[in-house]
Amino acid sequence: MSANIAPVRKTNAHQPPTSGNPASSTQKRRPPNYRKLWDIPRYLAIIAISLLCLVPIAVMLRIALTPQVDWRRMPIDWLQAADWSAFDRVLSGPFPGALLNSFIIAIVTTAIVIVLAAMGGHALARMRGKHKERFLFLVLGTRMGPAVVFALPIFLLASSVGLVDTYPGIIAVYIVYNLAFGIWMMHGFFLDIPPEVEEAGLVDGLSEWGVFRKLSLPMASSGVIATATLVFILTWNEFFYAFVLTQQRASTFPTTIPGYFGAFQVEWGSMFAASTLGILPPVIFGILARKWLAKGLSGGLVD
Amino acid sequence: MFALVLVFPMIYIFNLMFKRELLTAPAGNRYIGFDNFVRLAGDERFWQATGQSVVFSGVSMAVSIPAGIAIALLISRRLRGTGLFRVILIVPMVLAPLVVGAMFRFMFDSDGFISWAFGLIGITAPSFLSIPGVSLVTVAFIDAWQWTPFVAIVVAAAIETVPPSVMEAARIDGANAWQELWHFILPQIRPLLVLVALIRFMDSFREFDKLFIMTNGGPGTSSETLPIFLWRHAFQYLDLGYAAAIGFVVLVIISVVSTIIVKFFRASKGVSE
Repeated sequence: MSANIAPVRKTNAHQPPTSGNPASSTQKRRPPNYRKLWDIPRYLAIIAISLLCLVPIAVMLRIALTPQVDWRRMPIDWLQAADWSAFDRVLSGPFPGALLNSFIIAIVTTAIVIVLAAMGGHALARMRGKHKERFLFLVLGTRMGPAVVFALPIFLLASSVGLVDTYPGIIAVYIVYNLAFGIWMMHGFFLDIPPEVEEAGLVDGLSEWGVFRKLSLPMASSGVIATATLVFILTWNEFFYAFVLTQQRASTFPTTIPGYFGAFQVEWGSMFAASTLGILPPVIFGILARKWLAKGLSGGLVD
Repeated sequence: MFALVLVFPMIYIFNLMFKRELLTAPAGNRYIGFDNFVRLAGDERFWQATGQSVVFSGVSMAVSIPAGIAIALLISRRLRGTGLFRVILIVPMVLAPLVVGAMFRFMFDSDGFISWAFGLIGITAPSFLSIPGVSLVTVAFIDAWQWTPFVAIVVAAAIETVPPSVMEAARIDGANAWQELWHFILPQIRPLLVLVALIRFMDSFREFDKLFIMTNGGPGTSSETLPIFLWRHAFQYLDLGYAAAIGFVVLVIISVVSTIIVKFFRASKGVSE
């Protein structure tokens, strides 16, 4: 297929898609030019879809930088000077604390999950099929199971041991919520390492642990980065458990968002300023780890 | 700890669902056998929520999967300058669903961005989030907005592994683009499509954040899906026994679907090996 497309690409290099309708009658006889002609609507579709993805986010940024009187004025004045008062308000309130909580909770969760997932994933990669399928149920149960179902008993348990609104409480939940999926992700990366490498390590006198630490883990380092990024993003964005299990001291960034929706009016600018700050880490990490993002978001089910 | 946070909730739910455990009137709390399930079977609001969950998942899937396949075909052509497009597609997926909901609640606000955009082409926009039925479908579209790129990226990766010989065969047979897609590409990636469909089902079936922030189940109970219905009983009406019974039903639905996923996963591995 790529061989077929290569010449099309070359001609495109000389004729940008905006150059109108170049199909003369002589060109129409040769099939490849039909395909090239079709590139114009393709580029238009790409532009339209990009706008569909980005316009809502652009609107959010614009409103975050708009003074309160103009929040709901349409059409949006895109060229209006930036007004940072919403950011000032958000940053002088309790929001930075929530952002800090999000960082602490997401980083600690990620660190613990990665250590356990690397070891568990390695063990799983060396297991046979039947056990793996059972494990897949666990992955689905924790990653895909609705938080709403588990939140009630977890809340009651946490409150009976005094862990509501504490870091250890919410971090413990997030570890469990992410661990099975982390193990499943890591196991995929360990599968790519040929068993011969590890056998050679054992022959050379390394212990099992030595083989894992000095051979397997470095070879699966991209897997470690991918899994860590995904656990971070999922933990950072999680709302329901945080909503139920935290109140103030350990509340994370998403739990602050409903607070801007008052009974009579919505603090759109402040809410969007807070949202903008809150989406930056996952967007940055997501773009950096884009190769593994789809795999991770599917719970490691698709490659 | 694993056992505590995973097994305990299950046991707790199994115990609780046979009890009357109403915290607002704790005097009558006791074991009542299957009464919670009897009550559930006769609860119109439960059936309504179940139906609305199915509509929500159905619309979200019916939009995101075909749209995702179309975008996948677009990016698998690897046109010049579309590397940036692949990066743009990442963005909706990594946003917190709650923020996505808040963002679109602003867009769909009365006299907001959407009604302004409709006005440009001379249409008076209905107020999407305050009409029963329409609000549910609108939020389902937003769910599809967030997850269409996921379908696109996964399907595009699969299309790129379709052997060139298959495409050659399609061209030699004189297939047009549509026939090429329907008879040659889609059958090749069928196991993956099934998997994607099931993942999309489970993700949309448990969606809470967007509905919570955009409609909160309203107007009335017209956009109340099972997760919102369950949350209300557990955390607002404090009717814990009944909530546990609802949770159990949701778990049953999810496990049935999980079983199907694992079956198909096995089948797809069988194809690839």
